[in-house]
Amino acid sequence: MTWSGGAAPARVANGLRSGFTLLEVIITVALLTSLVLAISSLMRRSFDMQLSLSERAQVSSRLNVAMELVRQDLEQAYMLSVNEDKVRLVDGSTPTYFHVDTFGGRTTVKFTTLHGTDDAPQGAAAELIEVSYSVETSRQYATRKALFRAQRILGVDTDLVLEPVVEGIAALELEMWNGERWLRAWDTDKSEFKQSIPHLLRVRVQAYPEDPMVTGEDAGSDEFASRVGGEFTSELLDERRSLIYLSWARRFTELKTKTTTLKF
Amino acid sequence: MEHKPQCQGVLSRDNPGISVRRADAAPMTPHSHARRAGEQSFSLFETMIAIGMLAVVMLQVSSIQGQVVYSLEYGQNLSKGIWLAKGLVAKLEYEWATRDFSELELALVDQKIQDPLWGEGAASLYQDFSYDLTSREWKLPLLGFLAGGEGGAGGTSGAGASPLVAEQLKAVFGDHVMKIATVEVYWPEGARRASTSLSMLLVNQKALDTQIMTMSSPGAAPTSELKDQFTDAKQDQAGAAVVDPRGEDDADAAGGAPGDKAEPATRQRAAGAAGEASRRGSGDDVGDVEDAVEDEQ
Repeated sequence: MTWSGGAAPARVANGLRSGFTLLEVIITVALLTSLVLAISSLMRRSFDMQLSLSERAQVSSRLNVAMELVRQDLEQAYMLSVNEDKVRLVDGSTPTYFHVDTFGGRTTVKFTTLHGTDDAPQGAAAELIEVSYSVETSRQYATRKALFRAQRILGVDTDLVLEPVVEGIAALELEMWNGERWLRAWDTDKSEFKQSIPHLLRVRVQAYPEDPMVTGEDAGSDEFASRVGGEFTSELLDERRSLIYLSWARRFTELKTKTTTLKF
Repeated sequence: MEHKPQCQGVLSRDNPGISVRRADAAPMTPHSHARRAGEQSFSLFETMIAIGMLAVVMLQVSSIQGQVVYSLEYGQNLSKGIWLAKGLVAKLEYEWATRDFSELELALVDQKIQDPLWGEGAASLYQDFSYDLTSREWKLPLLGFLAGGEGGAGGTSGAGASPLVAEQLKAVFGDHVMKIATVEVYWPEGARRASTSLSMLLVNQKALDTQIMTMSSPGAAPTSELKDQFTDAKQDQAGAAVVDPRGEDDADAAGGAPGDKAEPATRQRAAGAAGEASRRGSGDDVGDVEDAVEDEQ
């Protein structure tokens, strides 16, 4: 690289005033242009990448939060035993339950959990909490879904109001192991489930690969809907899977006892 | 970049190489009129330094970006790996609860994620993930010492407290007292392997619970009446746990010898989790059995 022009714009050589030649100027301008383009392209890609990485990190974080919430509650899933907990039964039947239902791709989970809160105001039943999970349309983004959760003390006459806990969650799937096979539904009110909870669950949480936070954009607009609200195929969704062991289920025998069928 | 007029590179027909000469040296010959008088330029050395610095900066910037991408990718894989490891531990807990303790000797190496356990599409989704799962006998040094024999992994030898303890342990737990299980989930990260692992200590709780439930007061054998009540209670529960939520059906558990009536460890755990109400909640036939035992005491 040679800077033949020197520092001074005006040069005098052989009595003639000389400047940059046209070729020099053209080359310089071309070099500067390509340099500016390269740098701006680099910066744009850098910003895009930062945004993309931020979104992915956000999605990953949301998946972890959703998984952890569901896991913590499910691990406390509890059923009063008709044989063991006669003192706490209501009219001879247990007020506790474990319901998982999948209908039209939408999973609804409702169950009772046991929490060790001795100072709860409702007496013996106060430590039993009803918990519900569902994936519903987000209140922030009409074209997106979110994970909703509700809870109330068992026996207290209040509504079980679902509140959004994690945005951007597209699906929550639960499958229960009955000792022989995985079931997509579980209803302790039905006789086949013998008022017992499953020993093992597998949970799958899916999230949209993009973060729905679009600053200054109308979430209800068609443009927004077409851009971020399209139906995501399962392959595009980011997801986490895990298994959950329900420790209180040890009070009950499994519905089926062919446990050898479930290999690692 | 600072413009240094002291040196300049000269390239001429006679001298195809590049030399560096000082600006205050003798004027250039007409044959080497690449530069006019008073004209100055960057030397090759300066240019190379400049390009080198630029390259270093550019490489550094791209390296940082690459590092960020790698970190995020690693974080996502780690998150997936942790949830898989937690799932495997849950599965192990399930095995612990539903199988005989002696069956928990596992040595699974380089296992792939399979659909039957993890659900449809898991095998392809986690095709890069593998895991090792080992579960082996773990000797608590204190128990080894109390039993009068070798002291666990450390091999602490010496005279133990009493061979009677060893006999009691053997009678209660058989040959399996504790196991340590380790789950390691790993996946490729470029040329190397990244992994996450979880460990879990398993106790032969089933044998202990069975032993506790069949125990009577010190020095007294369980009466046949208590035994009958105990059996009835278990039958009522269709093989379910007999004392507390953490208790286990003992369909395949070994019977125990008479001994002290102690607070079941599982009950303590249940009490910790559920509070006093949980104790009240377990008051049924089994509670009656316990009351009878206490009355007998």
